[in-house]
Amino acid sequence: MQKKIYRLLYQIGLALIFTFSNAQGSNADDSRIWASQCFQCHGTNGYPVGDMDEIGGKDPNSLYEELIEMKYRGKTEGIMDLHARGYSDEQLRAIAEYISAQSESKQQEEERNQEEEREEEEEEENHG
Amino acid sequence: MNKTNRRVFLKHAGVAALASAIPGFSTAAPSAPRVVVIGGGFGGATVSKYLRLWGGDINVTMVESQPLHYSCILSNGIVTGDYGLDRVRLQYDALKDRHGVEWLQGKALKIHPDSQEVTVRTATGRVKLPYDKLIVSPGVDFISPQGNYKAGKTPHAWKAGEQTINLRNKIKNMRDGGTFVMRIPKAPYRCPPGPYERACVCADFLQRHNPNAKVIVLDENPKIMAEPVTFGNAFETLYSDILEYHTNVQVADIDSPAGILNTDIGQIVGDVINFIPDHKAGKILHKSGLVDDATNRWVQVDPITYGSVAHPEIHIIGDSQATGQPKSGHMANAQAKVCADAILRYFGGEQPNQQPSTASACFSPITQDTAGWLTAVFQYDAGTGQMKLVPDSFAEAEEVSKDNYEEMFAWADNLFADSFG
Ligand SMILES: Cc1cc2nc3c(=O)[nH]c(=O)nc-3n(C[C@H](O)[C@H](O)[C@H](O)COP(=O)(O)OP(=O)(O)OC[C@H]3O[C@@H](n4cnc5c(N)ncnc54)[C@H](O)[C@@H]3O)c2cc1C
Ligand code: HEC
Repeated sequence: MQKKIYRLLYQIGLALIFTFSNAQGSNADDSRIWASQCFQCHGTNGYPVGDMDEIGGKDPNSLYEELIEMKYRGKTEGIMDLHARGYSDEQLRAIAEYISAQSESKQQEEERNQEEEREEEEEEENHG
Repeated sequence: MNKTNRRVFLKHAGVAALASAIPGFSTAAPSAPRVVVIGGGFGGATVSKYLRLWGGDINVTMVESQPLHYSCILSNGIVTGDYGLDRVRLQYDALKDRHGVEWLQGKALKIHPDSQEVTVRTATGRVKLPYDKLIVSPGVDFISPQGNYKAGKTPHAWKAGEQTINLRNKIKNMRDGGTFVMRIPKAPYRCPPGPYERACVCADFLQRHNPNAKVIVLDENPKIMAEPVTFGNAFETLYSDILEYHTNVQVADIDSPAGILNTDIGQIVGDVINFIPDHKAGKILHKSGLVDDATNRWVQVDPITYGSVAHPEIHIIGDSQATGQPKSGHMANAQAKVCADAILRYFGGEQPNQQPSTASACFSPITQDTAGWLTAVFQYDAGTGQMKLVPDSFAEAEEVSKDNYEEMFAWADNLFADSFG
């Protein structure tokens, strides 16, 4: 019993230390789990590598509208439509807001620039 | 200071001492919560990354026995020689350098739930790592079949690396007109469409390079376990001349060096045998007494946190847990995010998200340049306390196409980057 109480006190202590030292980091809202289920395909925070649509930072209303269109069109047109069908409209709204607020990390930007340079070089070689 | 408090204090002091002794450590304050992650595959890599990305000041130490990870995803293309092992080689540099994950090469030998420590064997000896939260994502372990079973002689290639190359060489060097035998394990196993996909691409390879060869597929299950339309069509049309598919086959025993399987449909002799054994949770979970489901193979968890039912401070994600969601890399990544979110909220004194969702996707090559896919989204069902498939989100591709084959690489590279990058 006593052990349990100390364990609890210890955990509260940890929680305090954590919240204190990490004040700006704890803006956890429910949408981050849902939105992060899009990142396996569209890249972390919506910034992909290679040939996949970038969705990070897009306007939340147009993201939401696209998702609703993909969810409700009669016949699915690809794997994306099935993912849109996995969520409630409210979840899709929250996902659109979350993804829209994300910016590209430095590394992602560097990698994208390198990729674009490579593509340009390849194109020059093909034409040259 | 009483005894319990001192133990807790010493635990933290121990972490700080260890942290300063190992280069690359100490990215978070020594007093920050300490999370240890066992296994650096899809689940372990993703949870380490997202704990740091979303959490900031938190100590995350990954314990991984290998210097790098070879992804099983895309590995059937290595078996058929379409590309090499380097296509699926994933490094831990980004986790260490970008995300400040402390990385320790070593094998976790035992978890001690009472003292909240893990014993790890490293190149320089054994260490005990204390944790506030432990995450275990060790993938799967195999149940050896009866008989003279030697994985080197009858490779499963169901963990990527040496085994994949072994099977590649055996198929490539198989005698003209030889017989390739595949054994599909009883579900649940990792990647439900994976064995059928392998049967297809191997049949495709042999049709092109060894046209008199034969493929015999022995399935322990009563039917094709995933993408039945896609694989059923491929078996009946593309590969009807070369491939025989048998359901409900029990293998009584195997003689790997002789290449013989004794089954309930008779003795089967193969020039090359790809025997994929039945699966169970990673060895560390069995050794630590954490396996507790009805089949005595997997670990029961609460899908809101992935905390084990018996020890909520120990979280199990990926292939080893018992929620019944598909065992896939995409899914391991999905569960890792739910788990990371729950752990960060726990340290912040908040409740976990009561409506977590997860997703899975598997792309399945059918020939050397076409593929199908299978995908699904799962939502938490408060009534049953289980993750529930959203029926409208679950489907296999309507057609096998070259576009899908291209999309497979785009998906895989993003999954690799989201997990390891
Ligand atoms: C042929 C094939 C095709 C597949 N295709 C797909 C696909 O298309 N899509 C998909 O989503 N999934 C696919 N999968 C499934 C996918 O590979 C697994 O589901 C996924 O890897 C599971 O992730 P995990 O984290 O549970 O385990 P793993 O990724 O296997 O990682 C486990 C890690 O833990 C380490 N480890 C284990 N025990 C210890 C220990 N005691 N100490 C230290 N380290 C330890 C291992 O070295 C390993 O690095 C495929 C699998 C196969 C075999
Ligand atoms: C299995 C991989 C996968 C997952 C998971 C996934 N997507 Fe997609 N998404 C795609 C593909 C592929 C396309 C391209 C569709 C096409 O061109 O037909 C796409 C297209 C889109 C588009 C249209 C982009 C454009 O420029 O037209 C949006 C918006 C989008 N996805 C948002 C999301 C959101 C939000 C999620 C999470 C709920 C998500 N996606 C999850 C694969 C995925």
